[in-house]
Amino acid sequence: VIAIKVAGRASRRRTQRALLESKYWILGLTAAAWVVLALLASRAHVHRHVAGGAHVARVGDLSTFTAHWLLMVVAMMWPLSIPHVDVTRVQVRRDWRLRAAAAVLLGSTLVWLALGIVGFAAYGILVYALPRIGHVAWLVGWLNIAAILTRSHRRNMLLRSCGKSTPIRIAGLGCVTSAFKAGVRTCLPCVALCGAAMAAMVAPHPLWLLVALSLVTWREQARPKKWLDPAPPLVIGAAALTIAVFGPGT
Amino acid sequence: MAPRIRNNVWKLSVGTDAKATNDPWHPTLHAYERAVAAMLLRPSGATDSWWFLANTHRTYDPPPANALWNACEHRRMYFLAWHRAYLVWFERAIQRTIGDDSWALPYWSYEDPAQPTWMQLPPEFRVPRHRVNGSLVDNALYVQLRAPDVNTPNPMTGAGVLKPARVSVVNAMARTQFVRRSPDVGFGGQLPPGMVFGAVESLPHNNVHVDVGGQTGLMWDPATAARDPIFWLHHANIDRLWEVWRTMPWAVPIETDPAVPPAARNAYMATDYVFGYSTAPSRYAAADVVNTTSAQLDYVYDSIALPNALRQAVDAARAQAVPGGPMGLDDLEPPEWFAHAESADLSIPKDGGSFSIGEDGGVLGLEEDLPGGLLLQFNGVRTASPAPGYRVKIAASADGVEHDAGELTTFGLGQALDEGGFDYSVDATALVPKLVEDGWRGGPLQIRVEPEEAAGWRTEAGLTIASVKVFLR
Repeated sequence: VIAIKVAGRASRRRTQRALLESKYWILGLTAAAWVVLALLASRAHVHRHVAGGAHVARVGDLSTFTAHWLLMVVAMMWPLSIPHVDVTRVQVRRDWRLRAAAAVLLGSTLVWLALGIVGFAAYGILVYALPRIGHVAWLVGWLNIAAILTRSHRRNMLLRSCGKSTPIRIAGLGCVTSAFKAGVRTCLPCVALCGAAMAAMVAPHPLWLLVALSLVTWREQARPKKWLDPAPPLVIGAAALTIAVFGPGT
Repeated sequence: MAPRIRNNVWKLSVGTDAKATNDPWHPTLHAYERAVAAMLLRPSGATDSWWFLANTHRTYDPPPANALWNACEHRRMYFLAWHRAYLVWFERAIQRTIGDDSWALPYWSYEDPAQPTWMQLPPEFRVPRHRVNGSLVDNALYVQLRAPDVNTPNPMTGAGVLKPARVSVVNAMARTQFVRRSPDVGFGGQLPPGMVFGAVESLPHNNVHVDVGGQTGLMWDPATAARDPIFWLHHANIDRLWEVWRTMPWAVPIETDPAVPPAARNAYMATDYVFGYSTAPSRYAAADVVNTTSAQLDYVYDSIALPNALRQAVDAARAQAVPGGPMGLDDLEPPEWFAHAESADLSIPKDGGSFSIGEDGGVLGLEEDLPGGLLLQFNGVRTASPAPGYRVKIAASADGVEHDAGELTTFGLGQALDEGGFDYSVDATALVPKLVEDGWRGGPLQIRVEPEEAAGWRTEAGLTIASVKVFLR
């Protein structure tokens, strides 16, 4: 009887645990973001959050950019947050898990948003100064920087601090604020690691570039200590070359 | 060709200081000493120099361009694998220096209470000079910057001799899994992004560093530890203990653990450990590192058997299950830990202090069902001047009986390696029956943090702790 009770309890626990696993709802939202991005790209051919042609871009409005940028963050960066969100859930009381997980995601998303807005302003200035080549120069320039950074041995050191979180309170307002701070804190090394690739995508770009850079980024998380993995610089370099030769509308 | 054999240094040792000074040494130790002496003379930019090898672990020196220094892995699941590759890289440097590719690094086995002599530093490492070809010459294995008495141990008083409790492997060997999810810890560490000492990293690894280094010695500080020649023998023993654990019938390595998420396992197995210069690094792939007889590593230990007395102690530790609790050490998917109570922003005076935890944390009704586990998690522990270690004691009430729950080990803590402080997990599951017997029903617990003492050690500052959490399951 005891064995049956214990087995039943374990089974219930497994079911509850599975339903509460944050990775499922994060991945669900990520999948939804990809669907929306694909739909937008199919309507516009080139996935652009600014108005204008493939070779001469004009800066669009900030609200449209922000909406597109947030979609990209959800699509590309949220899956990388899953380990942090998982740990956060364990660190807080059960009734605060959802709020803490949301606060971690909000913290990291706002860091990416800040990067996007700064990049958006810088991109606007560049396109204003160099209307005919600014767009391509921005994309190719940042992609080259991203490719070079993948070869830096210091990247290995940075990847080491990627996981370090800050203490999270178990309940109450302190739980939410500390989880938010942890989200910001854990995101900062990610910005140093992946910021160049993300910065490139401030400019109008084809969906395939977002897919390629996402795969590179996810691969790095899956193999964070694979020394000088040749795939990321090859993929990013090929993307930069394609855009330089055929233009960003490809 | 057969793999090279790493031997117990005490079985190679001449045994006494007098003999170590005047008699010929075992060829393995003699070659090691001569190699260290030669490598000390090389410039720090040369990959086979003593300084380059040591600084790869960690250093205060600025690294030359492209040098892969400050690379040591601590408080992460890569700790054992990184140090294994590091030792092999070091071993190859010694082999090149002495021109003998069969030379194998000995290990310092200090964990067997039945061998108290082995808890002393081997004499070859503690005599300042020794006779070579009839002349007394400086001994390159001797380092003055060690804890008081370590170079002049007295077995009668215990001075300079490692204490069995501080080098115990029982807790580590009793672990079923190599890694576990936060807040739990496995033999080798915690799944990412957790950063806490793994069981074997905490004890005996950390305490041997602290007890050999003392408060101002080389071994105490991760940035200087590898400059002491005994560092490498100490880590060879930790590496051997990994092999010993793998022979335990319950051991579940990360490669085969179904509870480890595939992403974490793939990350572990896709790791490259690299040393030297990034322009031409020596590279060790994780798949080779987990197997000491792989072509790249190619070594075995003379013994990976756990001594009988230790095996019995490990079995006893594993038998300490909570009556009625739903989990056992062999349960790969035990019930999830849940945060139960917390105390935040704590200051512990330098001579220790206690605090209550759980006043506002709610009360778990334990009348019907004991929890299957009790774990204390310390977050953001910091101090400018740590004690050699801190005992953690738990009582069911402020005036209740205190039960020893475990230790916070302090290797690296004083050097503020991490500005956020260190995190620790102390599994107190074995104490649940005692606490319940003392009247605990899930309400407040009284926690005492007590500094340990060592000869000549002055603890100048207390601890600050961002938070302590009680986890139950």
